[in-house]
Amino acid sequence: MQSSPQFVGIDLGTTTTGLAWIRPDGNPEIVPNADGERLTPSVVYFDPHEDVKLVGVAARDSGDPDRTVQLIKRHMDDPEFTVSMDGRIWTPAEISAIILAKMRRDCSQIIGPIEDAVLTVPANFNELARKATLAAGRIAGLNVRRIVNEPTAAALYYAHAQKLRGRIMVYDLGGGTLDITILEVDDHGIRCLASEGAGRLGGSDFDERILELIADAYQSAHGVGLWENELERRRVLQSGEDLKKMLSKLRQASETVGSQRGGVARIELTREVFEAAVSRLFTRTILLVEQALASVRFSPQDIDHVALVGGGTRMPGVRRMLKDYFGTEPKTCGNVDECVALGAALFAMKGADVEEVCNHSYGTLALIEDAATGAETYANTIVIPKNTPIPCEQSQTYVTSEDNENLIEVEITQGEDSDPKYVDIIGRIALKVPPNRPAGCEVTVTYRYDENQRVKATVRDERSGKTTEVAISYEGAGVLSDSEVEARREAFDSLRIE
Amino acid sequence: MIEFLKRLFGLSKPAASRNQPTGSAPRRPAAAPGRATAPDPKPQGARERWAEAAAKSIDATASPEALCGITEGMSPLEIDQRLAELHRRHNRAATSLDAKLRDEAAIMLDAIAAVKEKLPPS
Repeated sequence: MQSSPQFVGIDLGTTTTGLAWIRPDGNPEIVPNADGERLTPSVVYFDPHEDVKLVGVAARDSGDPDRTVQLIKRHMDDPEFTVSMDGRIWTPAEISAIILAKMRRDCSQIIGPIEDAVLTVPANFNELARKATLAAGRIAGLNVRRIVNEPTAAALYYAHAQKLRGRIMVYDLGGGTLDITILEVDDHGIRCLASEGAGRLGGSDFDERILELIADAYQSAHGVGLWENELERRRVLQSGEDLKKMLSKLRQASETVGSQRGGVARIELTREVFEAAVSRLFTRTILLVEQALASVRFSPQDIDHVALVGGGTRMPGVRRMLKDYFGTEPKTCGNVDECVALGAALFAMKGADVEEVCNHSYGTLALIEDAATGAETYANTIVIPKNTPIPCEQSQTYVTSEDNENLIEVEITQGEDSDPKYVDIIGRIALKVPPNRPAGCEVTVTYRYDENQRVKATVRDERSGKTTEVAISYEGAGVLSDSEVEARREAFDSLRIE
Repeated sequence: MIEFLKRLFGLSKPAASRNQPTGSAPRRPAAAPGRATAPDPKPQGARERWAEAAAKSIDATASPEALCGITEGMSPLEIDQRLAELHRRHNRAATSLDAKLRDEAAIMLDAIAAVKEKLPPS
C-alpha cells in the first residue's frame, strides 16, 4: 500500500484547480486527475438522472447550465450565497469541497492517499472566504495544514525553479482575480512586503469582452442575436475564450459560431481590436500595480523582477504593458497556470521560511474628537494596519463615550478606509461592565492575526479588569457552522464524484 | 498629550438619545456581519452627519471626471493622487459584503480607469 504523500499543495482556482506534490527528489510536480487533465476546470455538474456530481471538463461540457455551477470562488465571501439543486441547498464551501474531493480521490490513486494539504487563496480573500476555504478542505476529507496566498506560493516556485532573488513583484492574473504581491527573496527565505488584490478582475472578464465583440460582429452581419438562452451563451463564451487564446499566439484569428436563427458564421478578430476592447482592463491592472508599489513606497525601479502567474499573463498585451511600465522583460515560467499549485507544494515543505503580511486592515468604529478644537468625526480606526507581518497582535485604547454605560460594544471592521461606509463590519463584541461609571473609562481593544489570516479580538475594560474575547464568526444561509462542516464531511464519503 | 480622543459607543442608553444606525438587513441576525447603515436623517452628532452623507448614491450617468472629482486646473500629479485614493477605496469596495457598494465600485473603477487612460505616462 502506498504511503501518504508528505507535501501536497492545491490551487483551488476560480476557473481551474491544480494539485501538486513534492517528489522524492524534492521537486514539485503537478498530479493529473483521473481524466488525464493537469488542470481541472472548477466546474460542478449535478446529473439529473444519477446521483453523481461531475467535476472538470465533463461538467463544463454537460450542456445544462441550470445544473452546472462555475466561478464558485467568486462567492466564497458572500454569507448569503447558496446554490439550490433538487431541493437541497449547497453552500459555496460545499461546492468547492466537491471539486477538492475529486482532486483528492483522483490524485490519491497516483501518489498515495492524500490526507494533509496546503490550500491557496487570493491575497485579497477576506476572513469569511478563508474560513469557507478551510471548511471546503475539511468537508473534502483533507487536513488543511495552512492557507497560503497564491502570489506567495508562486514566488516560492519562481525562487525554486529560476533561482529568482531580490525584490520580486508577482503579477497573478488568474481566471477570476488579480493579485499583486511584492516580496523579498533571498537564500534564507521569502518575506512578503505588500499584497494587493482585485477580487473582480480576471481572465473571465477578458472573456466577457471578447464575447461582446463576437456578439456585435454576428449581430451586424446577420441581424439577429447570437444566443437566446444561457446554454447558447456559454457555448459562445467558450468559443470566445478559445479565440482569446489563439490571439495570444497569432495577430489574427477566427472562430466559427452560430445560432439557429442566424446560421453559422466565421468571426474574424485581430489582436489589435481585442487589445483595444480590453485596454481599460489593462489600465485597471496597472492601477493595482501602482497601489502595491505605493503601499511600500517603492518606485518601479525598486523592483528587480516581475514574475508572471496565471493564464491571463499569456496575453502579449499584458507582457508588453508590464515591460513598458517597469522597463524590464517580465519573467515567465512557461506553465504560468500551474505555478501556484507547485508553489503550494513547496510551501507545504518549507512554509517556515515564508513571512506573510495581513491582507486587510482591521479596526473598529469610533468617534474621533480633536482635543484642541472639540470637532468630532465618526470614523473607522485601524488597530492592525494592512501589510503588517503576521502572525501579529496589536492594541488600541479607546474611552467610553457616555456616563453610566454598562455594556460596551465594539464593532470589528475589515478594511483600510477611514470612512465607515467603505469597511465591512465582520463581528461585534459586547462587554458588560459595572454600572454607574463616568464617561471616559479606558477600553483596550486587541486584535490577534494568525498565520492562516484569521482574526481574534479581545476587549478589556481597564477600570474593572473584565475581558471578553471572540473569534470572528459569520452567520448566513451560505455559511456552515463547525458542527455542520463535520456533518457534511461524514456525508461526503458516500457522495459519488467523478 | 492625546491629540485625538477615540471614543467607543455603548448600548446602555435608550435608542432615541443614541441615534445609532439601524441594524443589519432584515434577513441577517443581529450578530451577523454587515455594514453600518444610515439612521433616521435628523443630523445631530458626528455619526448622524456621517450617516446622511453615506446614504447618498453616486450618479452613474455622470462623466468619469465628475465621478472622480477631477476639476479643471488639477495637475496630472494631483489627478494621479486622486485616482490612487479612489482606486484604493473602490477596489476594496468591489468585494464588500454590501451589494449596493459593490455595484457602485464597479462604476467607479471603470471611471477611474477611464480618467487614468487620458493621463500622460509618468
